[in-house]
Amino acid sequence: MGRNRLGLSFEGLDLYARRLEKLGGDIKNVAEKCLVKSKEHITPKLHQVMSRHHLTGATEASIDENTSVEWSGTQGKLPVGFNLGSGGLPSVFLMYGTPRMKKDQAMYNAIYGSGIKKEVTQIQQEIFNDEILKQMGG
Amino acid sequence: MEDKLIEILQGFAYPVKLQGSLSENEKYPDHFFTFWNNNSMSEGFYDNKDHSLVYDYDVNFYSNDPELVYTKLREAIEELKKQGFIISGDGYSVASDEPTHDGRGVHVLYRKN
Repeated sequence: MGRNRLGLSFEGLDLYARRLEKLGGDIKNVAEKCLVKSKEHITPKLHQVMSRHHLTGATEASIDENTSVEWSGTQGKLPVGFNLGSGGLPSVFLMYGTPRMKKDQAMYNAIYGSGIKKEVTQIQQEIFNDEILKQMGG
Repeated sequence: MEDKLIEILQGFAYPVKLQGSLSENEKYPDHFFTFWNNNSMSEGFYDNKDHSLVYDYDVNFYSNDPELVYTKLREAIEELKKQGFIISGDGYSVASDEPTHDGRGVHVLYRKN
C-alpha cells in the first residue's frame, strides 16, 4: 500500500477555479497553497497521536514532511502520512488494526476521519475565497 | 446496520469477526472477514432533526490463499454494492498477525434514511 495523497476536494471547486481564472489568478499556485496548508494541518495531528506509540520512534520518523507538490498534467498531488518504504509500515497495523489488535481510531481519524475532511475542505475553500477577494482588489 | 453488514458477509460462508477480537491464542480461520465501525454521522438536517445517518465501516478479508484475498473481497464489494452500500475503489492491503495469512480491506459506507 502506498502513501496517502492529498487532493483538492470541496463542493463548488470548479466554480471557484473558473472564477479565479477569469479574474487572472494563478490557479496552480493557489492549488499548491491548498495542498500544503492541508498537509500542515494534518501532519501535527499525526505526530500527536503517534506519541502514544513511541517505542523506537521509527514509525513517527517516517511521517512525510515534504511539501513539494507533484504535478501530472493538471493534477497536483502531495503525499501525506507515513512513508511505508522508510519505516512507516507499522502504521498500517495501527491505522487498520489486525484480527488480534483493534485499530487506533484516533490515528485513522487524523487522516480519514470526517472531522479532518471537513477541516481540510474549509481550509481549501478559504484559500480560494481569499485569493478571489485579493484578485478583486479586496 | 451492523446486523445487515454481518448477514451479507456471512452469506459467503466464512466466519465474520470484529477486527481486533481474536485472542492471542485463537487460531486464525483459513479464510474470514472482519469489520470495524469507524463512525456514524448524522446528515440531512432540517426541522432541527437529522433525517439520515451515514455509517462508516472497514471490511477486511483474510486468507491463507493469497489469490482468494483479492477475489473474495471483490465479490464482497459487488454484493455489498447490490445491497445498497457505497464503496469506492478496489481495496487496499491490511496487516495480518500471522505470516500464513494475507489481508485486504475496503472502506464501506451506508446511508440510512
